[in-house]
Amino acid sequence: MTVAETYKTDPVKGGPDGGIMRRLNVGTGIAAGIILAFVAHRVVGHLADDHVHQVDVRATATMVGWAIGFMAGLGAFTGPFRWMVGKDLTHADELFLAGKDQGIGRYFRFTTDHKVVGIQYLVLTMVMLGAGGTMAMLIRTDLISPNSGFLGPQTYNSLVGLHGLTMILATIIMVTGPFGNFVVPLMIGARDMAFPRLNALSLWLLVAMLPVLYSAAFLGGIPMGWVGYTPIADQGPAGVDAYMVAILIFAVSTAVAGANITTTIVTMRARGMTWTRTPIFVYGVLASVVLALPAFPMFMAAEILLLVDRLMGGGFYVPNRGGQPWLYQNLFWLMGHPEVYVILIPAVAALMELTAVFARKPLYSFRVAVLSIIAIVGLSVTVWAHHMFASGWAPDLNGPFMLTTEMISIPTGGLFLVILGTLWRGRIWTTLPLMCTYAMLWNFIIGGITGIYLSDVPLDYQLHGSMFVTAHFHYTLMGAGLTGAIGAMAYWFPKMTGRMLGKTSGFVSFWLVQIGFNVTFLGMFMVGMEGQPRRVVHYDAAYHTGNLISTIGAYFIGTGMLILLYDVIASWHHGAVAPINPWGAKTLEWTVPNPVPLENFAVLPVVTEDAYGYGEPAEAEPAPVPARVGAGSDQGEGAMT
Amino acid sequence: MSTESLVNKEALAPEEPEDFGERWRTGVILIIVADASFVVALSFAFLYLRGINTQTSFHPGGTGVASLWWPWIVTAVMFASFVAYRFGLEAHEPGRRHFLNAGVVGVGGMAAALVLNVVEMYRFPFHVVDNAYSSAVWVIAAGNVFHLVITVFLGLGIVIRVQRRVTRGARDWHVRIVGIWYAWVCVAALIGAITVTVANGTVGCPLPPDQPDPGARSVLASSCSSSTR
Repeated sequence: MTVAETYKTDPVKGGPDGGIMRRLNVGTGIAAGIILAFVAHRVVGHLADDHVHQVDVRATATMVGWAIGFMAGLGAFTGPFRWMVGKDLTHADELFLAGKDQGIGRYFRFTTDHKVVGIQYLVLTMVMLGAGGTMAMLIRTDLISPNSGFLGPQTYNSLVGLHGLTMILATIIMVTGPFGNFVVPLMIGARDMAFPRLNALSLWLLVAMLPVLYSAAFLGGIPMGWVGYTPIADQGPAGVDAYMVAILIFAVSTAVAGANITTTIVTMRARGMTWTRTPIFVYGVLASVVLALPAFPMFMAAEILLLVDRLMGGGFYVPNRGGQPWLYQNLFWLMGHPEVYVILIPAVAALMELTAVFARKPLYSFRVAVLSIIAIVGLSVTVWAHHMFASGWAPDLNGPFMLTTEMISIPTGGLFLVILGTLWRGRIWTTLPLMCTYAMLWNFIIGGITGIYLSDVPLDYQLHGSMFVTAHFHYTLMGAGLTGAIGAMAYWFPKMTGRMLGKTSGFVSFWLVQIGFNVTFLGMFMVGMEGQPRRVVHYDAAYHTGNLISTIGAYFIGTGMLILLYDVIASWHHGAVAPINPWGAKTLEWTVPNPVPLENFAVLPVVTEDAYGYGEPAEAEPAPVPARVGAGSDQGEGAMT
Repeated sequence: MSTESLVNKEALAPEEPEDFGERWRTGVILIIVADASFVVALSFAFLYLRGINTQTSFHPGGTGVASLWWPWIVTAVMFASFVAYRFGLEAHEPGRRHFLNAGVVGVGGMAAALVLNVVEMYRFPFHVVDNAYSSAVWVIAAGNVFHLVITVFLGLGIVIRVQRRVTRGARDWHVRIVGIWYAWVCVAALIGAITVTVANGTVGCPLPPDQPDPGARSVLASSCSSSTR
């Protein structure tokens, strides 16, 4: 029985069915957002007319007005308001919110169905990655020669900051957003997320955030890079206000999503799904959101303090008023380093999940995988200050932070061993998702080992702030994280869309991206070791060759990504119809029909064994493709492996 | 996962109110974890800046010091409201009609604490721009105001719902879960009050005796020397 049905059997004095709630959608949200932004701009502008920080006050009020208006116009506050006045949504309204019988329109409403939210997250992530990627192409084009003049210094600075922030935010949500929402409830045998309205809220907050974030480009940019370091942030243009408000919205979204996903996994697993029978991808998502939950409020606090500095003349980061930029760096990196694992763990866990499927072997040492994930989560909150070695903060602590940072490579190595052990003597079925596993192993080895270099204090003093660092974190976040997300998309695409992703274009895209990626960032390692600083628009002619190589590699990546985008759109539109379980996988999401019914399972499953019972490699054959079953047919309901 | 397991009819059991409540309780506790991280970050910022005292300007001598009366009075009122709410929760019965009086006292107390908190901010003997100390005290007070606004919203909602007899079955859990939030905001206010008290113990000199806020005299003149480390 669903929560909605619980309500149905427990009739109360609810409000009437329907009402204005059913007329709200993204269009009304935009209209309300614009109106409230305009009102806030005028009213606050009038009140702060002679205020010394009036530009920042007015810009911030406008952006906050937009976000609140957009969410209100979309209907995000209808539920809480009706809760407060004791007129809960009726069963019919709950079904309406879930998107029942609404066709494509449900993707443009405050829809609560986890599958709709998952698809919305997927599209949003692709939009953000596309925007960030386009900026990367512009940056690399500018760097094709020492003084190309393609972008002015101000534009370049702004683009570097926006590219970084866009990509970080996109990579944080790229696995837990689309797949954590769409796949996890199916994988654990639940009918929906624990809090469906919070689920929609977390998604639409991000949509509200995007115009705020990109308004920075028109408000002087974010000259301090994606990290938002003070004191530049204290003195920067109104673009910094956009940065702050965007981070605040993102942090709220992350907290809401984290609480929701964690509650779902902890309390809604199917009967019999003990922790030892829970698929490794679920662990990965859980670790990610559990880590994000306390981490992002730290970042939020840092931005609140910055907001007080910029809008009210506060003294948190201003040394002559007793403030201290190191405070910002500490709060930022208390979020910033766990955030790396927020990105990486679910991506690697997705690859572990699919590696077992395509190797036709049980996941090698499931417990080592789980313990490694737990160890990474624990250690990741003890390493933040290795980003501050060169800042001069607490030199006595350099040694301990070097040690903890190097220690985290041990459980990370554990994850490598699990994947390699799973592949070892497996009956390999080479598909695009599995190719992503190979690519991740290669890239993450390079990213991980160069990370150990950077955790070493003397070497960090040499390499800090150079292109070497840029290459290192691209190898981890893009080479491992994004590659993992692409693998996850290729793997779950049939379940999410009901279509198979095109094979040939998928492989072409894969090789272009991976070759281009290594060309780009190996070149960047080279110029970084030679001393080229990052975030600098004009560089010495001695670094020309390396930069030229990197730019050529970047064009390969861009071309490959465009092919992948084409593949996704074309396959989604007219790709081969996917069977229920095209990979012969054993996790629960592959037991439900395509498209997945509103309440997922006709009969809730009871789990009696783990998800990796593929048998010995010698006996295992790729599972035969099951017969296709139409959505909602009797055969499909509660379908089986 | 086997085929047989998926058609086990036993699985189709109605969701118990306790399961529903367990889920809500877990969710609220996780939101509180995130909020606690935020509160701790603010407290850390205050104490870190006080400890490092950059350019001996964290709180230069002679500038205003926050009253210790206000944060502790606000915290005490909040705790009293929470106790009233808990008292109401003890009278557990379907529909929770007996909860109503205690619920009204609870939300009224939180509203009073909100007003006191705003008055406190209005009466600060400094401006937020003065120094890092004044900024930090202001932010901690503002954070408490934010907590109280949410608490009054939730408290009011619960009272209305009980009055409308909406709190039945699984929804009874809403009453208990709002109680968890009440407890947390009291703890958060306590953290804020302790932080200001600890910081006040070593900063600044008292303002002249004619300054309007009696709490500003709570810092002894003997501690002034520590403000110019």
